[in-house]
Amino acid sequence: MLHKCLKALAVVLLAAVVPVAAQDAILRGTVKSDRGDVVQVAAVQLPELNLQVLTGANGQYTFIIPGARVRGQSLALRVRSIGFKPVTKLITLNAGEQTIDFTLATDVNMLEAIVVTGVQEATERGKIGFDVRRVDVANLPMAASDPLRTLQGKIGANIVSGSGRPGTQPSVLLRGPTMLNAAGRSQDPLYIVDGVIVNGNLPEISPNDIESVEVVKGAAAASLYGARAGNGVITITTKTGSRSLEGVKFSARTEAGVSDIERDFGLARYHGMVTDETGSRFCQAVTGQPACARTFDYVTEQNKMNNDPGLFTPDPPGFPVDPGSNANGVAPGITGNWLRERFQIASWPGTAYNAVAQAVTPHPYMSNSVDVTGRVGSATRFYASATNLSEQGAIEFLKGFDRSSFRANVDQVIGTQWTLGVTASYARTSNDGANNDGGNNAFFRLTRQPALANDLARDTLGRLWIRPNLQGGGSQNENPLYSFANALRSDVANRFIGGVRLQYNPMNWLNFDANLGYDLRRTSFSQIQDKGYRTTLSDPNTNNGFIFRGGSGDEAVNGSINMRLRRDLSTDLKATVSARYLFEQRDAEQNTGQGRFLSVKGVTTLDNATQFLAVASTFSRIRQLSQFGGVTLDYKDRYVLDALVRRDGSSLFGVDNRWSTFGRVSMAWRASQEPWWFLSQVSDLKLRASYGTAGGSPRFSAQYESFAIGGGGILTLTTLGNRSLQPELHKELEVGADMELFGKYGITATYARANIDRQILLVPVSSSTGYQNQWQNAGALLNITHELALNIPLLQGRETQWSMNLVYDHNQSWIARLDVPPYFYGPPQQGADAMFQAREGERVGTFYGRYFLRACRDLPASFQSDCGGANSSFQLNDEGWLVWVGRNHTPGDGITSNLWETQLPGAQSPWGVAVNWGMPIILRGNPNNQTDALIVPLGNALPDFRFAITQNFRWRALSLYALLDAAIGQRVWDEGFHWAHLDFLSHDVDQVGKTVESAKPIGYYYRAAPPDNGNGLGGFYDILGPNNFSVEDASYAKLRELSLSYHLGRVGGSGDWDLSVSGRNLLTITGYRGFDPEVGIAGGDGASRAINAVDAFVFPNLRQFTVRLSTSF
Amino acid sequence: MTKRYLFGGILVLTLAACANPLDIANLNDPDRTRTFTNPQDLQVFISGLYAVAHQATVGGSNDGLQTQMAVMSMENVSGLANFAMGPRSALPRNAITNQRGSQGNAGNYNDWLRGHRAARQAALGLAALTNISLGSPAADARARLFCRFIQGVALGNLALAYDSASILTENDNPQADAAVTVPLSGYRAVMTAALGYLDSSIAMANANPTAFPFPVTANFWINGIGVTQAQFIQIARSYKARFRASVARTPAERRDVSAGGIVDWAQVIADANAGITANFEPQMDRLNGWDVVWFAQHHASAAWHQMSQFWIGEADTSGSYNTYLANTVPSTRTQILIVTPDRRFPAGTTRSAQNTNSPPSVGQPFANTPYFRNRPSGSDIAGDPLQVSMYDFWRGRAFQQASRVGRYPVMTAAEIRLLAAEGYLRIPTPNFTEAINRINATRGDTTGGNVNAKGFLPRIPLTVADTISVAVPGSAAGCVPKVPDAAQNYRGSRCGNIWDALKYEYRLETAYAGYGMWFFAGRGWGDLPQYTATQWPVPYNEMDARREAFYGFGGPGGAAAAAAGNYGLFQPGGVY
Repeated sequence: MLHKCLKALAVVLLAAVVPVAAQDAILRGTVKSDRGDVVQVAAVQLPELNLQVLTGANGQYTFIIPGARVRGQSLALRVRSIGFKPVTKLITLNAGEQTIDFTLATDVNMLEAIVVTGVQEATERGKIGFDVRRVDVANLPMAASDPLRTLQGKIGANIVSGSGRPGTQPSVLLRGPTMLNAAGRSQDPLYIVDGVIVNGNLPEISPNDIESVEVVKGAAAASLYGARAGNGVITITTKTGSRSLEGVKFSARTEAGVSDIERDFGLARYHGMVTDETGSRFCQAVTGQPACARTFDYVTEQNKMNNDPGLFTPDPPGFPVDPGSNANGVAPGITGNWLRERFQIASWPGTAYNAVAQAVTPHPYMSNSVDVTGRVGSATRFYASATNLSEQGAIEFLKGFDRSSFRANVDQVIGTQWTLGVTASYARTSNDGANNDGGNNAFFRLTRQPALANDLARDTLGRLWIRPNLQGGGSQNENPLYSFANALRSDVANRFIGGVRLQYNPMNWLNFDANLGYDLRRTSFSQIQDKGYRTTLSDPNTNNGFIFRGGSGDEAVNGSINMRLRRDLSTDLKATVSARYLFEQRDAEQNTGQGRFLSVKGVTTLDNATQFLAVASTFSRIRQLSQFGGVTLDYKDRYVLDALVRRDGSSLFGVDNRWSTFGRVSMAWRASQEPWWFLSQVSDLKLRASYGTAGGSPRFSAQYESFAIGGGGILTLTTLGNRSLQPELHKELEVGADMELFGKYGITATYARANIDRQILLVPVSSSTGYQNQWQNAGALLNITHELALNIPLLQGRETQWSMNLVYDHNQSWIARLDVPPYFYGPPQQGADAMFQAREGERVGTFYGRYFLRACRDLPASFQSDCGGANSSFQLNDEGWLVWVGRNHTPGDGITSNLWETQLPGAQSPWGVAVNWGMPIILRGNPNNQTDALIVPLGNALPDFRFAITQNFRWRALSLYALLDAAIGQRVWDEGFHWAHLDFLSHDVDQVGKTVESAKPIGYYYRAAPPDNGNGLGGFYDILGPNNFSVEDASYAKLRELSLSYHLGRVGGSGDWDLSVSGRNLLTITGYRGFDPEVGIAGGDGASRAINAVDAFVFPNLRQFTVRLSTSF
Repeated sequence: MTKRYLFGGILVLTLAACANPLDIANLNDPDRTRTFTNPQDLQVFISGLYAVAHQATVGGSNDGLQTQMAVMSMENVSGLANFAMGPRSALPRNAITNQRGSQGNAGNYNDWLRGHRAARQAALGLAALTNISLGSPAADARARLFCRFIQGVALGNLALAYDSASILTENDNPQADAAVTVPLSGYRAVMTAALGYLDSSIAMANANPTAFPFPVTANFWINGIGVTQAQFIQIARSYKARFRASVARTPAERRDVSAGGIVDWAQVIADANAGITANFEPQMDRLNGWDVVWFAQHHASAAWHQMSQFWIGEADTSGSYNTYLANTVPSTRTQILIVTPDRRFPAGTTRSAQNTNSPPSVGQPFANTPYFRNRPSGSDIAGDPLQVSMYDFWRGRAFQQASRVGRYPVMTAAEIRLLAAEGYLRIPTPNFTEAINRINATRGDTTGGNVNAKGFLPRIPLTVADTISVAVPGSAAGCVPKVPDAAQNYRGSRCGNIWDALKYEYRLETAYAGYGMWFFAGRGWGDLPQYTATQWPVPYNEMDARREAFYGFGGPGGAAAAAAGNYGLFQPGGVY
């Protein structure tokens, strides 16, 4: 049997290569678009003969078919090109010359586009039973600094640039959260670049190299990728020479501009402190003395503190009224309660500064790239590029992000049956500022700078002032710019991604291919605070310097061998059978060292540190083996049934559950191609449905019992092992329709319902075990998604074209089942770590926190009758908060009737807790203790829906492109704004411009009343966690991209030039009070900035203006 | 047949050579299988147990019960919301519940988890020692008695803080089933078990003199101390004294068993008298598992801490404390200058003088006086009018300045000595002489070569045999301590009696040195503000794991809420 097969194979091979003398057939023609333009690089195919040529620069093609293959047979001559519907003409192949021209219609809905993601072989979208979003280079007129930002607003997914620090990667939720606990994992999709499964970190890939991006969003489409694909898949294909004309084409592009930050944080401009009668000198707190027995000049004291030659500043004079910390309204020498008496209306003496304006400094943006594309003969195609990006951000003293990258992609046809493809890319990136992104770092301190603080001031020794803010608060009042300038962080990455693809097509009905991908990422990072680092309080640990260094290596290898058989089972029924074997291994290691107390200033090696030396390292290896089989049946090109099964073995699963099975069944029906189709208005309609399963793999350590090795080698029990741990199981049903109306309007609608079972959760175990928790499969999420895409060509003339695209998505995610008791969770940021609640029936991302009353119905029933009326004791104030004003008063009477310091005693107050006049009231009534505040839902961190509208307008050589990207209905906990109320440094505390009726004393913005905190009066600062004052609507619409281009054509007789001016993140329409409603922090169970919607001291997103000049020749 | 065997052999060898490629070892974290099969590793596991137990009390985390206990007992003053200080310091007191989302949960769980972890690890170590030897009988005995000691310390601390806990033994958690959940027992049963474990460790120590001294291996055993047999017994008996006395939740419980209480004060006296005579102060190193994090940073901003002038005002002889108490409008109370002969305070009659006489900026040895700093006025902050003071605890300053590396007491000799003193006053036939000698040890001057002398206050005469009516020496103005006087409705002070002097010494000498010193003693003395929770409920994490209902303590009308305290703390009509 084997002998016969080999013999048959030899005959076929010989038939392919032995020339036979006979008269040739010549086919010629021109391919044009329906607008009359010639179509270059269109593929003209004779499938039965396995032949293909490309049209040239003039849109013409030529086939020369050897006479030996010319038998007068009928053949299909097919033309296809990206962006156009393919056209097939039946011809009779005879010797001699024939001219056959083609006119290609625009493929409005891209149903004829070939996609490779999620399918068993490259397939037209029109024959796929699920949605594959495809974005071509033509849809990416503005390359952002990284691929994911480039995709914002184009694929109907939640892509959140939670931090504007150059070089950070946005978070992506393709169809909502899929993991209740993604700690140590990611909610991001699987990223595949040119067939290489990469380890994320996409900012190291130059968007200029991208040819197309394909996205499948859920298990119904991603089953092909098995245990890692539950979050969907984004496949990036880089440019190749496949569409090149014969010869070599060079392109060059340079883009220069500037970055800044669109919005302000809104620091207070006034103060409420005590001054002398001139308002220029501040009263000093002196025990036993009247409030202003001694005064001082703020600026003089600033100079004195900061010019001290020591490493830390002396104690400044005390303020009797000190916004800063722990205020309760009592101050030496001040009669009455200053929190309820004082209004923030006083101008600072001397020069006023804006700390945000001092920190934000527009820095240059520069991107240069050159590439060469070409074809040598019909066998060799190549693309090579070199790019450099310098995005310096907009923060004083920081340098931003640099990337240098190189790429070479080569495709080589070998004989008639072999094709070899090689891709290789190398990138080197560097960035800074990671130490100041989030937490209690510089952006925290930036919210603690009063208007009198000059953060750019230097002392007589040339050092930046460390303490421009003299109020209490310690290190939180340090100059944020000092940290930018002196706590030096550097992160450098070297990345190589390479792949080899070998295809063998021995017969029309049989092919093999093998892929090998390799991804190596090496990083080094360092953080240096040199000896002599200043602080506001003596701190030898810091003053004597600190060095932290480390490196990491991530290495991934993945390979596969595929086989496909295609058979026509009958005239109308075609079958494709696929089988695949895959291997994947990922290694990750990290090594760090650190130390303090530097021996010598200016030396940055670790051996310069003399104390508190610490080292750490981790290593993990993950291995996965997979087998895959599938079949596709295509009946009359109208009914397509696809089924596959994949079995994955992974070292990540518990040892008793090493293997899992995933699969998919999908159907597509081209209803409009039915003979009986009667709706001429609907020129194309495909209905599709798919049900599939995919997985979510555990983190590396989840299955293992582990002791922690603490400092000094102390061992502690930490996590119980779980031999039975299984991957999360995503089960998704997706149905949808792709329509084309009147031959020009494209509509794609999708509904998806996903049940993500076996949620991997860190479940607390009884402490009597000595362990803290165990990873268990313990719940299920339900995701429901609606997606809509419209493609509307409004004008399609030869000189004027105008088209509009809209993408819309709506997703909600619920906890369908929880096998453990409810629990609170959140990102690792103080105050935020318990802001979400996991419980059955809860929507993922629902904020929980305390609630200030906003309606009479919020009061206990017995108080509601005395609420809401013009003379009622409880009324809504001018800001919509329910406050106690007493009978026959209004909320505007506080000053005129001298009521601010009055109080309703606890015995007469709601829930038995005294309330202060005019102050916001906390919702209480805990069943176990009526005086306890309730923790209630405050809205959701995920948007109700998102949409993006793209406009493309071209008139002759002028093009205008705009992208408006919107997210509606999501909430953000504006923690920075919230916490700034501690120091009365948020702008809303300023009362200048208000009337006596609407002005509020500073206590209104401070703390909730007892018993929650002993010093309370109001107020919105409340506790450190979220409340309904600071969890605010963060709906926004952003003018994400805007570009105006002019096609210059040849200049000086050479090249083909374009000139563009562009802007990114130009305008944000929002009512949000922080820097940017597009914000979030990393880490925690959510592990995604798209879920952890906390505005907590991260770099604001950048706005960019650039000018671009490009040419090709 | 031969061929069949040959083929079979090749097949077996081939399969054996092909290890499952999906079996990947976790090379980052140890587990029981590896740790308990190698004697050296098992020794590392066991010898690190005191560090683990220490982390359940004052080491390792700001977000533990210590931070809450300090404000609840007014050892520390801060209204910042951080670490639940604000909610726990609120007046009137709030209830502490173990509901999910309640403030302070993290601190509640911190000590609970770590306490049980230490006890469980000790039990696991004991179980492992039945299967493996550490190389010598002495080494095995040392490991066993150390495990027993840790079981006692860990369970004792849990019994002090929580209403119930699990009594863990080496028999209830066979290695095959690490996930066994041990039922909860009430705090008295847990304390009985703890004392039993400590007795067992002492007995083993007595029986195995070759097990000593403990190796001085950095970070292990009792870090930095080559504990001798005698020292070990002193330490263990000191823990017994502390636990037995401090487990009482109320003044009624703190009475002697002969008076209906639960404390056998004769046993406390016996243990204390056999206890430590110098501070028990292991070598701390914050990066290596030995830390005293919260106490040590008490030199930081006054927003985070300051001494309560309600308590330290007892030292004042200038009249300012009376003025402070006489002020019936709490919101107008301000800081007072404490002028006192007590050398534990900075000397001087003006603030600037006291600023000058405060400890140096870099700190000083823990034993040195003064203990407190009168801070520069510029560092004052507005705060709770009842308690804010111009004084900061400064004994930990040098330790913090040394990056929290160095000796720091987790148990003071004064604490143990004063427990004995209290016992002598509580036993059916009080022994005033023994009690007064112990109070005078730190109170008095150096007469008689008393090296413990700190206060340089007039010694209480040994002739005093009255706990109520006889005041400490000194004039009405010059006596120390003064305490709020019930006869004046706490609006003025009187000279303290021997009890007041004992408590005054205890507070000054144990401030910020030991787990819950002011809190545990204060609840037994009746010195907590009214409605203060006297214990913590089992944290919600544990209740969830056990699927049991939540509950709470303290607050008006709540269970385990302190009654109106001595000195007017703080019922309506009192000083609040």
